[in-house]
Amino acid sequence: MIAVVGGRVLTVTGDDLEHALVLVEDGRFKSVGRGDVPPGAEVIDATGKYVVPGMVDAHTHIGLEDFGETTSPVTPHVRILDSIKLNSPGFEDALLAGVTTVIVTPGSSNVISGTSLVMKTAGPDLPTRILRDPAGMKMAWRKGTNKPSHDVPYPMSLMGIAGVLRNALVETRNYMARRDRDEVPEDPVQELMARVLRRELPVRIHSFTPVEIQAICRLQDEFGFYFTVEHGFEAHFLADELARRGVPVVYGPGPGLRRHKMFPYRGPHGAAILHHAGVTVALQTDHPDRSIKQLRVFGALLIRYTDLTPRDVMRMLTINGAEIAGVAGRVGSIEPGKDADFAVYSGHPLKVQSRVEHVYIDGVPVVVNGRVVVDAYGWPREGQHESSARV
Amino acid sequence: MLAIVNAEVRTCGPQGDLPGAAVLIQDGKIVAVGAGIEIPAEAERIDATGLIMTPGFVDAHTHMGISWQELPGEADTNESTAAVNPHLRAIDSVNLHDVAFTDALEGGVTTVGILPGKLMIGSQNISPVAGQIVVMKTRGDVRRREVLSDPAGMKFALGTDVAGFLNERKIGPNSRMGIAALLRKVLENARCYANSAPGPGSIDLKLECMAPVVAGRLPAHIHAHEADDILTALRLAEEFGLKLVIHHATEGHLIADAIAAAGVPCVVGPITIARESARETRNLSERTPGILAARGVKVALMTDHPTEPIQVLPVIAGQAVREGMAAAEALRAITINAAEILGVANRVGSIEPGKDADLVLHDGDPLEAMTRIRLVVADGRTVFDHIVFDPMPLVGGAA
Repeated sequence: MIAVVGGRVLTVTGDDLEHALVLVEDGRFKSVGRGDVPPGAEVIDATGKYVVPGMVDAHTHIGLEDFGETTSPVTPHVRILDSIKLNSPGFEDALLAGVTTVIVTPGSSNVISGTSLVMKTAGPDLPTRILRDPAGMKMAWRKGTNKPSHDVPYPMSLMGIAGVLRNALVETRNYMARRDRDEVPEDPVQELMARVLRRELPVRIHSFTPVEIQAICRLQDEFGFYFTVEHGFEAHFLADELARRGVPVVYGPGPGLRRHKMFPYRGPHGAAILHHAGVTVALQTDHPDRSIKQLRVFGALLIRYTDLTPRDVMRMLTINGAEIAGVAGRVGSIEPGKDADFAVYSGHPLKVQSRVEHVYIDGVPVVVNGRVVVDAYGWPREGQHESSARV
Repeated sequence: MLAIVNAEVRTCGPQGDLPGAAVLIQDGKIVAVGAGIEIPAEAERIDATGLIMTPGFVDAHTHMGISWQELPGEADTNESTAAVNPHLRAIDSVNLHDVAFTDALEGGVTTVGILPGKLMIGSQNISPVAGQIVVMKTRGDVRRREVLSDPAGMKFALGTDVAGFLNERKIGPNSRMGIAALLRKVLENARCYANSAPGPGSIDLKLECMAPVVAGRLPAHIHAHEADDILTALRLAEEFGLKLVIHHATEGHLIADAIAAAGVPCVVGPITIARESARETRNLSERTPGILAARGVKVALMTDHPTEPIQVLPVIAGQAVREGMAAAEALRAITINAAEILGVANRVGSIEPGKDADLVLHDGDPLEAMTRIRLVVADGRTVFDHIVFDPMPLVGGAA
């Protein structure tokens, strides 16, 4: 039993609690509130500090050295797990930043790029770390004009991409009909795409502009799948439409500050407009495009530039991402019964000068006094207490 | 005449921090700073009670105006047809219409160094002699923005990325030692050229531009991420008497004593990128600025815009504070230190009588992301006014 005492607890889904007692047992939150420390409990003194749920980065390429399988514009059969390197520095940086859950997706090099998964950033072994796999089918508005390699036919226009998507979905429909009539043998790739059409697996589609989002809405009307908008820097133009459809937006990477002429209509106000329209917004770093350590900084910058409150933004950094990932029953808030994934900050987590002091995953310390205490593969091992962390 | 009164002033100059102070401005210049200064009756007054004033920020390493274009192939940051380009001037690539100038100004960044070189961390397009650096004000419009210094320095680059780039383009040596040898040759040629008393009929444009570098008059700004490349830069500077500035210094924390002993300033960063961004950044640490500053190295911080958007400069400094840099030193790293490194500290970088009236009012810690900028004064003119605060107007949206 672990007792976190004296801290200011941001539960995210409930009230913020002053001088609260958080009890952890068997890797889960047992209770949150007031009371006496049970005898024999290990005490973590969080007096004057903030106790915050482990954050969720809802769109990353963490652990990847190859970002896509670029031999064809349609590769639904590739699984992101088969590309993840657990000893990538990104996982260590995630822990140092208090990020304990990530969605990992294939890169946007294809129209249909493969399946994404949801995992924790540390854990004793891979099966324990994975919360959901597959967690979505990644798609992208990706033209051949900037395809990375291989001389294979890629669509060269937006309507061409929509054509590739429509064609793939029709093929899956045909497969499902023929399979129902027992005319064809089971095809594992088509079974995966069939899960998309049966609404068991959401489409996670890389889209920035209204024209891309309107096109995927039309495809949804035709084929009835669920989808999320990934990036969505101009999604606020369609905020009401997305709210009506119940489509969440994984906004980022970054607060939307423009850097190029590419997105003249972007700005941090995009996230605020989506939020006020009732769209579930989660933030992302697209790590390593932007560092996973910047996740909460992006949240803080949204407050600098919009009327979003710290409470709104804390949800975008935790429970909203967990809901979008389909793992809100396990992580994303400090509630009895949920996994004991939390961090102790020296000050409010949206202050960039606040330090992440301790991080726990499943009730086990993975960062202690700002030092990672797991090995390169993600867990404290026998006889190993020193971190591999750099200076 | 304009007077900003009752501010908590962080001058970044000899006067230090002044609570409840006033700043008097006339003809674009600061004329007086202090708690007890006399405010003429005719002066327009702005009451800054509860607000913190800093100098306008200075970013010593950006690619503003030359990186406006969408795709790396369209950018004007580096002339990729040759390895040695000392005759190129960044100013000739600067698109004064870049929206980044407006974003900078609203973010309190009033002076920027614009360097030729690599567009983004992770791209591979950088020549070992990249060209001349320009220092500009961000105030103005497409017709005119004031140039404070041009050339302010010569931009060089070392490292495996440079070798890879030259190898891919077949325009130069393809090893790190090969690049060092090339730079030695260029520097030696420039020294001989300067001694040969060139005149009409014998002007070599490239060597003419290099001559002030080997004379120690024009600073050599050398891009170096890894420790070994930083040490190479220190050797070159010693051999040729260069006035050296190290840019990036990603592994500077590993050789902090060597840098401190050489007395070389560092423009560190961007410290907010992922370690996996490039091979040369795998040992990146946000503690580097604090470690170097603690050893006595003069440190400035950078956004490397567009790698980080220009307006997050103070938020980057806040993260350096979290990782051990003294808060006052972090503020100096984006004001006076940067101005001194760029050679424009006579005009900007601190709140002192006689300097340009570039001032920023913040409603909280200037280095915190949630703090809002409430007033920006550039050259004595109010260019951004949220003294009565409204959240950013929801422009261009569906609402």
